[in-house]
Amino acid sequence: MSDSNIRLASAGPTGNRVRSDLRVDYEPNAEALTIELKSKVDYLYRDAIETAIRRVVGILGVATGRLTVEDAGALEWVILARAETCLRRAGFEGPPVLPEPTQYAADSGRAAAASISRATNPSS
Amino acid sequence: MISGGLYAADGLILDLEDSVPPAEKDAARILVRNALVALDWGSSERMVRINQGAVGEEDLASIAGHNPHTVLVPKVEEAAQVGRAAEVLSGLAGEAAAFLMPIIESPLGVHRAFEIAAADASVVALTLGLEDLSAELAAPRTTEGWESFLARQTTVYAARAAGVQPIASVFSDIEDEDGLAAYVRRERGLGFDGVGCIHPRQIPVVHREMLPSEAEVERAVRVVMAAREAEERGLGAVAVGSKMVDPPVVQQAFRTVELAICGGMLAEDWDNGKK
Repeated sequence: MSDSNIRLASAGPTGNRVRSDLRVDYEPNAEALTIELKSKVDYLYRDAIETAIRRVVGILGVATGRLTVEDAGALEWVILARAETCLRRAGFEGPPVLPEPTQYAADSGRAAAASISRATNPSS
Repeated sequence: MISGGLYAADGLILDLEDSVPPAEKDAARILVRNALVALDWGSSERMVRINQGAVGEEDLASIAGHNPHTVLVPKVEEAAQVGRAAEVLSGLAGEAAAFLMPIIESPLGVHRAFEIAAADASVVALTLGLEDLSAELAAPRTTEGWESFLARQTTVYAARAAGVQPIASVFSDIEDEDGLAAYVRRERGLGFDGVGCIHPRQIPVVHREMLPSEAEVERAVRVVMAAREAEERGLGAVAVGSKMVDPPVVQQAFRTVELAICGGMLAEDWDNGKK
């Protein structure tokens, strides 16, 4: 992909009422990538938020431009999703940037699904 | 969405359809995909409502490999729509492909309800969207629900005939708890196995009203015990006290006992493990 395909982009909500979410803006330029981060939980989670953003940046190969992140207490999987959306909208490509899978996410609801399956196929 | 697993709903539906404007579909797909990977769903089944047609297939490409248990297919009017969703899911996830729950939202969909429910082995439930249906009927949705009676009853008949679960539409007034309770009792009476919710506060009401009464459970337990005893003794007829009980009543009693166990009214080992 040539740099000419890269464009201004953003993802996520803005405003004072945003909770557990974040806004990510990308502005292309020829300079080395800068990341500006503002967060309501900056004093506790600044490093974790930046690590998540840098993970997306690395996987999608973003080397230049300016990323602005305004966080309102988002969980890591939400941070990854908003950053990935913003950078894909900007024109960057690459594999999906998945969060760490959690055991409960993989296992939860299996009983419910099995219950539906049993109700549907009583002989199974 | 983040706290959804705390409310002990039987299933949580993440929506990619009507609640997401067209310009935000890409963002919603990535959020839902990540939620399937990392969200604490508690004991709830993992469900996703996709869009219609080609947009829906893009949705499936994003989520199919991340263990959704059930995919809701909206505005279904013909069996081919269900078949196509099943084919795409199977191609993306193989044997791990999600189950399907078609949503009937138009008079044509109601007319073809059985074909839709029986369209594919991956269909496990059938539901209907009364808001869209009312709009198509040009008959505003009322508390009494006479305008949608045929649609609701047809959904139950079609689902039962196809061997899948009928699930009732949502009750849209989140402030009206008494109205919701009455609605759930009515839908349960029509034969629905579950009711959609649009707010966490509706969940305990739906759970409570979908359960059988204590008297119903008590009678069902007596019938189940009598049926087991008759089976053990090689008797063809089941008697409770001095009354003979027909096989359909026995079948209904087993279902009532199962519901009571699911709802915590009976312990799983209520019969000390005698099966």
